[in-house]
Order: sequence, then C-alpha cells, then structure tokens
Amino acid sequence: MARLTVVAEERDGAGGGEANLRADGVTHVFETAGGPLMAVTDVSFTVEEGTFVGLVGPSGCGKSSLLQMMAGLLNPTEGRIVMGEEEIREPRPAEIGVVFQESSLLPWKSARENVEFPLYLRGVERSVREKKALEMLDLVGLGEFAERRPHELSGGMKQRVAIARGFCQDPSVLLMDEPFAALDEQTRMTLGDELLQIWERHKKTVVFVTHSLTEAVYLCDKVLVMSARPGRILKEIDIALPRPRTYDLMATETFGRLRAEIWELIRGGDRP
Amino acid sequence: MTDLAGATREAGDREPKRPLIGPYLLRMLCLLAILAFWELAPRMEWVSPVMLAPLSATVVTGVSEIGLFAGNLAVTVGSLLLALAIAIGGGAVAGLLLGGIKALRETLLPIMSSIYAVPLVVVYPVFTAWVGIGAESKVLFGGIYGFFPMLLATAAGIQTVDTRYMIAARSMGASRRQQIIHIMLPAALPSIVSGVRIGAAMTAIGVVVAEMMAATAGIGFLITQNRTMFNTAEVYFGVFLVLLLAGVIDWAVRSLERRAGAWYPHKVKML
Amino acid sequence: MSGAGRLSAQIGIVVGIFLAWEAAVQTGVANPRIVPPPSQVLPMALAMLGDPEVLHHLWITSAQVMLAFVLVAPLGVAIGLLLGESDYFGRAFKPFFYFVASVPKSVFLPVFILAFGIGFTQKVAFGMFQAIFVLVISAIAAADSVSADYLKMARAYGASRRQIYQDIYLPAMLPVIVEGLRLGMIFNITGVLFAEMYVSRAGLGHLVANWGMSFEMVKLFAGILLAAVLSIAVNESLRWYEKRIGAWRG
Repeated sequence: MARLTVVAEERDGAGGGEANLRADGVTHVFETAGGPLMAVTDVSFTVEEGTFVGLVGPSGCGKSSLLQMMAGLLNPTEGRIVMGEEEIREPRPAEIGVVFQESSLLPWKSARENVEFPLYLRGVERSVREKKALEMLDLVGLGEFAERRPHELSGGMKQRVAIARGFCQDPSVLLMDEPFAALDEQTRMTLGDELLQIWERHKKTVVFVTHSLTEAVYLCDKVLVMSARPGRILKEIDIALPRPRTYDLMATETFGRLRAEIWELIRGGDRP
Repeated sequence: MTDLAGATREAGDREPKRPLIGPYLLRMLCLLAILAFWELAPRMEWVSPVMLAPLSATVVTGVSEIGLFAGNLAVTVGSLLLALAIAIGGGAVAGLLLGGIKALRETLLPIMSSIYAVPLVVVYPVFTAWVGIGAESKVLFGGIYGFFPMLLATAAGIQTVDTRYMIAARSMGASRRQQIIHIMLPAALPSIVSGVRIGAAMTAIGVVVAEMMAATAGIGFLITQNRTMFNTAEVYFGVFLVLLLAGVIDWAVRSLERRAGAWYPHKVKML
Repeated sequence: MSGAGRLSAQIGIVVGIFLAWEAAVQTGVANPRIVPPPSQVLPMALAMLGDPEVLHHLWITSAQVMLAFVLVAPLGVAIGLLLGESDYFGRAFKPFFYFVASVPKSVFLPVFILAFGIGFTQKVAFGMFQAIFVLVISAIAAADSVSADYLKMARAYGASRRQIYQDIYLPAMLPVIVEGLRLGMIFNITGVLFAEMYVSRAGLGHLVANWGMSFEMVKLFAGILLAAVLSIAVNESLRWYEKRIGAWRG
C-alpha cells in the first residue's frame, strides 16, 4: 500500500476508510420505445469492505444496470446506492474504479496513456502519473508493453491494461463488468488468478459481474444470484473456500456443490 | 467466386491454363494502346483533329505556353485555398454540431443528406447574379460544393463514436469538455480526415466548374476559352493540369490521413 | 424522439426556413430583387409545371437523364461484376477504375463537346461518363460482399449453380448495387444539368443558366427549386428501395 500513496492520501482526506457498498431497495426502469422496461426491482444487499463479491444471473437480468448504478453512471428509479454514509448519484473515479466488458481502451492512446488517463483527467502532474501508470502496468506484468497501442496487444493483454487502469487511482472499490467475457477459457483462468493475487495484496472491495459460474465460485467470497428480468436477488451464497484459492479447489466436492446450487437457482429463476 | 470456380475446376479435373499475358502486362498494353491511339488517331485522321490533338502536340503546346497556364493555375489555386477554408472549416464545425447534438442529429442531419443529392451546379447562376463573375462567386461556389461532404463525414464520425469509450470516460470522471476533447474528437478523427479528402476534391471540382461556366481567369476559364476557339491541344493540356492539381490535393490529404489514422488498426471506409 | 415527432420536426424546420426567408424579404433585411421571396418563387414553380415551354425543356432533360441511365446501368454493373468476379481482369483493370473514379470528371466536359457537339448525344454521353465509374466500383464491392462462407455452406447442402446465383449472389449483392445505381443517378443528373448549363440550346440547365444571366431571379429560384425537388425525389425513392431490399444488413 505504501507505494500507492499519491492518490491514497487524497482519498483518505476526502472520504475516510468506511467503504461498505450498500444497495437499498434499488429499482431501475428504462424508458424504451416499446414502453417502460423494468431492469431490476427492489434489490438490496451489502458488500463488506475488502471482500470480493460476485454478481451472477441469466442474460438480461439487469446485472450490468446494477453495476452501472453502483458506478454512478445510472441512477436508480427508486431506492439508493450508498457507500459508507454517502449516496452515489454520479461517478466517483477516485473511490470507485470500473473495468468494463471487452476492451474500452482508447485505441489512439498507448497502454501507458490509457492507464494514466483517469489521473490525467484530474490534472495530476505528468511525471507523477507516468510513474504511477508504469507501476500499475508492472503490476499486471505488462511493463514492457507500455508504449504499445491496444491493437498491438492480445485480448488478454488488453484486459490486463484495463485492470491496471481500474487500479490506477487506488480506488477502494473496483467494479468489474464481465471483464473476461471476450477471452478464451485458458486466458480467463490465468487472468482470474492474477486478479486474485493483486487483490490479496491490496484488498480492495471488488464487485465482479460474470456469466461464468466457475469463475464466480473460484474468485468470490460471496455470490449474489439474480433472477431473470426484472432482476431480483434470489440468494446470497457465501463461498466458504479457503484462500489463497488454487486450481485443485475446483475438483473438491464443496466447489461442485456451490456451483450446482447457483446453477439450480438461476435455472429455477428463469421460469416464471 | 474463387470457391465456385474452384469447385467446377475440380469437377472438370483440369488444370486452368495460365493466361498468355499477365494481368499487369495487359493493363500496361492497354495504357500503351490508348497513348498510341491518342498520338496516331488525329495524325492519321481517323478522328477529326478538332476532337483530339495528338499527344505530342498537346505536350508541345502546353510547354510553349507554360507561363499562361501557370499564371491561370495560380489564380485557381488562390481561389481554391479560400474555398477550402469555407468548405473544411465550415463543414467541420457544422458536422460537429449536427453529429454531436441529439436534437440536430435527428432532425437536421437527414435534411442535409437529402440536400446532398441536389445537383448544386444549378445554384451557380445565383452566385454570379449576386456577386458577379469574379473570384468571389467561384470561392463561394467551391466552398459550398465541398461543405456538404465535409459536414456529412464529420457528423458520421461523431455519431459513430463507440459508446463504451464514453461510458468508460464518464466512470473515470471526465467532464463534458474532456469527453469531447479526449474521446469524441480523436475517435471521429479518421472519418473527419476522409471528409477532408472528399471535401477538398469536391471543392477543387467546384472552383474549376465555376471557372468553366463564368469567370475572368483561372484554369477552368482558360479551358473554356480555348474550347470556344477550337484550340484542342490547349483544352487537353488544361484538363491535364486540373487532373494534376486534383492528384496533388489527394496525395497531400492522404499523407495527412495516414498520420491521423496511425492509431487505427484498419482503414476507415467512407462513402 | 419518435418517428412521427422527428418527421414533424423536419417539416417544421423546412417550413420555418421558408417563413424566415419570406420574413427577411418582407422586413427589408434581404433585397427582393436579389432574393425573391417564397411567396413569388413557389407560385412561379407551380406555374412552370403548367407552362408547355418549360415542360418541353424539362422533358428533354429527363429524356437525356433516363436514356443515359438505361444505357449506363447495365454496362457499368456488367463491367464491375466482371472485374469483381474474374481474378484476371480484376487485377488488370481494377486499379484503372479506382484511379479514374477519384479524378474530377466535370473537367472533361469540353472534351465531350469537341467530340460530340453540343446536342442531345453529348448530354447523354456526358451523363453516362459521370455515372459509370461509381457503378463499376460499387458492382466490384457487391461482388466482394458475397462471403465465401455462404458459398461453402450452399455447396455443402448441394445447391445447384443456378440456386447459388439466385439465392446467394443476388440477395447479397443487390443492396450494394442499388446503392451504386442511386449514386450513379445523382452523378448522371448533375452531369446532364451541368452540360446543359455549360453549352446547350435546351433543357432545364439551359433555362436556369439563361435566367441567371438575364437576372430573372424569381424564375431562377423557381427553376432551382424544381431541380432540387426532382433530384431529391429520385434519390429518396432509390434510397427507400435500397433500404427495403437491404433490410437484412441491419
């Protein structure tokens, strides 16, 4: 944590350490051409500070809408999202980092420029943000590729850069919206492991939206299972597996049972 | 088609014959034939010399009057530069507004793309009636000729900016201004630059067309003047100079395009 | 904004422009001798549609445009498909067509006058010349747009050669070709009008040029309005057809 002081100080001054993330009766209704569409309805949960929480559910269940509301990109129609004591109504880049589905890296900027972009937006001095960006790229093992443009990187490398960007401001919360969805199975396993290693060292609060049940069980402390649209929380499942997680856990009976339980919930939730 | 051809070939079980003349050679032979025809047809009186002046005569005439041609070409280039300022500058600003603001994009933009189908050449008499046949009318006309393609390309670039970039920038706390400068403009740059390429070419056509219809100087004026006097060689040489000018403009914008598009993995296709 | 709302907003904008134009003249902001008001231009345009002399010129222009189109469309598409489908001819002549397509063609008009005179034939020839390159280029693009995967699939399921042409090639290529036809038509109309304005004895372009030179501003504006409305109508109807047959392109 010591080497992340630059931005961390600002945060401590602004917000304090309390970073529980809470949803209180959140409902979101989209206005579409075909009439109002209820994406999520009456969702409540708490994400404890420093935990790794997964969000799973069938396609179109409003997982991404929920994540966008936590990021302050979207406001609930009813209810509220609260971090610590404060309601979230707009993006808070210093406290909440977001890593998106597929690559949202800017193709005209190098890997380093992409990573330092959030700092640049806030007017952080050039030498400081460059140093910070290179540090973050080292963290994800891409130090050598700092000056490459996204189209010169593989899919897995691009997502590593996106993760580095998410960590760059040392936010207390990291929201990840199906960050590995576009990657092949091997790459996503490797990246999941790397993400865990970084997380064990820095202990951020992570909310991780995914389609992959294996990924959810493998990575998370707790998994929130959502129903089909309009999305509700069907159940919160505690993943009582020891950390650090290793691949042989996947072969255990507990792992299989947890995975099966989630699958049953989602399948059942699909039926009206 | 390659697949289908391959299939029939397999069925017939025959190797395709190698063509006697390679495609590149065929192209060169055709080019050579055209040049030969250009030289021989008027000399042998296959066609009337009024219709076509021999290639050699065209070059000789052009070179002997190079001062006259250069002077008029300079006039054209001067008007063109002013017209480009209207077309590119105005088109870019209008395109940014029409592409970037939702209400305008939904209402005005379709109207603009309909207007693009109007043969603008019919508007030229209005300009000459308003401002006479001097430099002003051709600058205005050339400017408007290039304005629409520039506007449409810029607007297209702005409205196709990937929303993922915009959402990501917002999550990082980018202000509206920062979103425009750091996301929208760079993302739209490749199509803006291809707008410049098409717009600049159209502006050049507009200026020359205006000079051909009514003007007192310029390369288009020189072409028309020589046509009325049946100086066929001069007409062809003038046409050649206009093509050369268009080539130079295209080359200049393309080198700009290569730089602007360097970040982009593949070329952006426009129009 | 809903479709109907958008359309009414657009109609509102067009009406608004005409009203502002009228108001500018009425309030003396614009000189009516230089900018005639819509209250004079619109009735004049309508009157022209009943004027046998104007209709005669309009007919000549239409005849030139249509004849040029009927002649050039099959020619351009055939050349384009040949270049797109035949590897050999494609490699030999595609660069030539790409090059000429990027060249300003209006400047060749004097050459057409030297070659064909100033009559009907010259207008048709020049209209064809303006249109043919975009037709060839889009037909090449159409041929390229047929995915090899579709052909493989069709052959795997035993499609006959005729079925492959009818059910794979035609629907895949048609929208691109119709787009080319639309662009070709615009260039064709522009070419014919320009040729008429440059030197001729008949046609809408001829009238417009003359009205301009004799400062008959009401007639000039009315003529421009007619030309604009007719070309927009042609363009939009082809665009509508293009959208309809290409709906699968999304």
